[in-house]
Amino acid sequence: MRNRERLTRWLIAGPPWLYLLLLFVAPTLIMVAASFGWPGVEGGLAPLWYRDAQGLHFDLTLDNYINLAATSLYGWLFLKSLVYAVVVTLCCLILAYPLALTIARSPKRWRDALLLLVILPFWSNFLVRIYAWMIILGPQAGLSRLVNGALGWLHMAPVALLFSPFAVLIGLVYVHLPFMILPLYANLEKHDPALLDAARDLGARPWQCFWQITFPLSRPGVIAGAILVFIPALGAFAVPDILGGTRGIMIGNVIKMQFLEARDWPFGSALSIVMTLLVLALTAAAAWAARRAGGRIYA
Amino acid sequence: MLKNSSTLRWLSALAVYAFLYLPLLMVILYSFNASRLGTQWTGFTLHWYRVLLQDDEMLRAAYHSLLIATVASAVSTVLGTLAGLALYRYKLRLLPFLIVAPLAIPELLSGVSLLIFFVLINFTLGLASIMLAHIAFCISFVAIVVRSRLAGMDPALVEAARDLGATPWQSFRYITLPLIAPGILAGGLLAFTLSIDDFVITFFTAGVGASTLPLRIYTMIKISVTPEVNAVSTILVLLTLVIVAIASRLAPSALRSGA
Amino acid sequence: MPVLDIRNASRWFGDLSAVHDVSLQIEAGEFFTLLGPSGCGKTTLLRLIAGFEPLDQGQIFLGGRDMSSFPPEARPIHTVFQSYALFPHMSVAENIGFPLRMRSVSRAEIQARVREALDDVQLPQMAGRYPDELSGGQRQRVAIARALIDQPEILLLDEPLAALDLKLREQMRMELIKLQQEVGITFVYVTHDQSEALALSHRIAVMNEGKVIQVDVPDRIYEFPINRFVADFIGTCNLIDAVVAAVDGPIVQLLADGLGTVRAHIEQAVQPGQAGVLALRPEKLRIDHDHAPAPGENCFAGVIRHQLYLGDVTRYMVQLEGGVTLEALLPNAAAGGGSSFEIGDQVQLAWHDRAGRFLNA
Repeated sequence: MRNRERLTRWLIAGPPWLYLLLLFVAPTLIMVAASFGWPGVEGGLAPLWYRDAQGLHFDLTLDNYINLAATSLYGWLFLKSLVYAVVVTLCCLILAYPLALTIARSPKRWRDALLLLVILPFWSNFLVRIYAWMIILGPQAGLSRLVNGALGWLHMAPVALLFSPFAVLIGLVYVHLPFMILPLYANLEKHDPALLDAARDLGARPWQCFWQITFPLSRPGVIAGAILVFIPALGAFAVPDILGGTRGIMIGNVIKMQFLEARDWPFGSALSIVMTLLVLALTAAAAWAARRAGGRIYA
Repeated sequence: MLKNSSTLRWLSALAVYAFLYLPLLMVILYSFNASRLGTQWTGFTLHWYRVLLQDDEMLRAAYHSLLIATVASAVSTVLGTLAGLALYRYKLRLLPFLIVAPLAIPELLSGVSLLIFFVLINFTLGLASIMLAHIAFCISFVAIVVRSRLAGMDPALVEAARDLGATPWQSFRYITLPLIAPGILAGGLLAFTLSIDDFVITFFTAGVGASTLPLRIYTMIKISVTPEVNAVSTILVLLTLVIVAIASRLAPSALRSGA
Repeated sequence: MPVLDIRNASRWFGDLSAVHDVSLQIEAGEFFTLLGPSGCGKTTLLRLIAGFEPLDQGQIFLGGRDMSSFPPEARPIHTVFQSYALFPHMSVAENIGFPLRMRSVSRAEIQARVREALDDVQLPQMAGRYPDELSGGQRQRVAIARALIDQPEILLLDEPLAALDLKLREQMRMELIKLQQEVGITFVYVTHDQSEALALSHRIAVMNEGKVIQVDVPDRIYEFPINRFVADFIGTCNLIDAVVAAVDGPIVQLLADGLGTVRAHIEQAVQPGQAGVLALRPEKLRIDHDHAPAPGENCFAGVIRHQLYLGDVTRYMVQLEGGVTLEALLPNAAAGGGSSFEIGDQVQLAWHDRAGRFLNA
């Protein structure tokens, strides 16, 4: 009886487990190892070990990490990417909150449709969504002419909206906005409307109702949304690559360059590992914060 | 007082909806624009779609995309369903992490690690490597959808089946499977769209020979923007919309767990 | 030989003992009820019998066979679940025929027997309908038909009437009794509703905190509860702490708190000085404006402090001279209706010596 259950468990859990082990865990471990390696003669990765008459030798180095730490450029880029991610997260929060609140307070039969409307753009092609902003922010397009016209009227120099940090930020906000709306909505929908009635009954004005009741209760949703936006934004590469030009570079672009252009794979791996650790640390911190927020409020 | 604040909320909500949709609508609109420059509207035309259909590179990329997506979604649906079942039924230690991690870390990291991996084991980069990469993240996605569908099922139903004489296999076949089938199907359809739309991971695992629609679009955007891009973008968007609409009919909650 | 023999059954969840050393013997054809408050272990015990929970200790014998190696699908027991658990993707006919299908009975025979089953529960036209198209009462009948179609030895029912409204519940009670008598199968019924248990059962097992407290026929459980918990749980009961002063055959003289000397009935031997509780059912108390104490009676003077008019009866709270307040129940039998006594009335409260019981605490 017991053995049959164990066999069934292996048959069910085994195949996906194996696949993910091979195509997720193994590559990650290899990347960790690669970060201690030397670049190959023609680029890529040099062998990490070799055999000779004396046996097995490992050809490893800490150079990659040392270079990373020593060169302030990379520190700056990590910092810049962090700042971008923070800004994007805040903007997403500000834009998402009213929308999520509106949907959560709308009549029940509208909610599914309203949510679907939020989700649909997310499901459309990622590149298309970024490309659309190339059009909107382009120098020939209306928005750019409007802004530069206004600047000219104020006797200020014209700015390029495209290929700038501004374009990167807008692109990142646009792409990640649904990730903030949905967890927020999921949380806000569960709020008991009687709580707000009670607050108003006891004399709270609408603004106070929001800050004293709604926002604190929504903290777990805010944190969930923040994680879902912050982490991909930190590791973004396509948006800065397409919309950023030279001024909007983020750490993701550098990693890409190491792998595809400079072909210094060990160094690229080291950068990736540092980013992974950063992401893990932030996720852990956010999970801790979420547990505190959730625990205290739903005590 | 309440009326005013709710009106304000609705207005801001509308503004955000506009923010979400206007860029896409612009692209769709401009795909019909006769002008080459794309900022002046000179007339309605299907010219760019015709150009698209004669663009061999584009057609090849489209074929690759569809092929990859079909294989990836089929395999990942099977493996993902197994994973979803396992997550629901058993208290596993490693599998939950293996499922969530690929979705939690930035795609860039998955992409580069797979690149190193394939090169290291001397696996030629091409259609096959893309497929293998896509299957990996699609499994996670389907698993989550299937698991949430299972969680929404009344556990008393399986108990009732066994109480009435069904063996564990029979209760799975006659009760569980039919009830989660819409979820599995929806998961598969959504995995299909994830694969067709994927850019970052495909970018790193494609190598030289293989091309997919997103990769082609990327090249076109970076090198020279022709209005053809608008046309292919419109087609992609509409295709995705149709698939997602079908999936949302089958399992409305699957869409939300995807995001 | 009892059809169901449970010996020293125990089931733990962590440190919580859900079922603790329970032994019961249930006879064939009985309507046996497990009664107790939520969390008393009655549902866990039911699940142990059905096979959904493993026994941590003890054994369960069905018709003499040890069930520990039998998974749920192999036991000749079926369950009617509290939520009915009808398969939403199957029609009523497919639901009812499911057990037969699992036994590979021929399609033709399944069809015939399903039709018969539908007639038995008075749902002849519902074969093609789906569960979400049925009312609560109809769903319950389908659940019962499904569980009875292949003639199990025991039918387990987990609070099947809990989801129905009052009128329907009372109607279904009558139908359940009739059904059990017609079919003759042993019913093991779980409920927290003590009036339901009293009405339906041949025998009741009162449970609390995982243990069986008392097993008996309904009227003995009501009249002769074994301890304070059972007396309090079944019906309403006045409970006053008391100490034995003297024993005289089946009658004992007690010193009750706030009451004084009271005579009561005992079922088991007691010692003078033993502490326990005096249990008095409200309906056994008589209220009169004047009453001369008669032999064989307890009589006390008091004041009506509170009354609750319930239409057919009125409950009175009478505060006696010693300070204790007793609840009495009187039918509103006067032709003109209404309660016989008013708040503030000076009255005499009397009851027969044998009406009160002395119980262990």
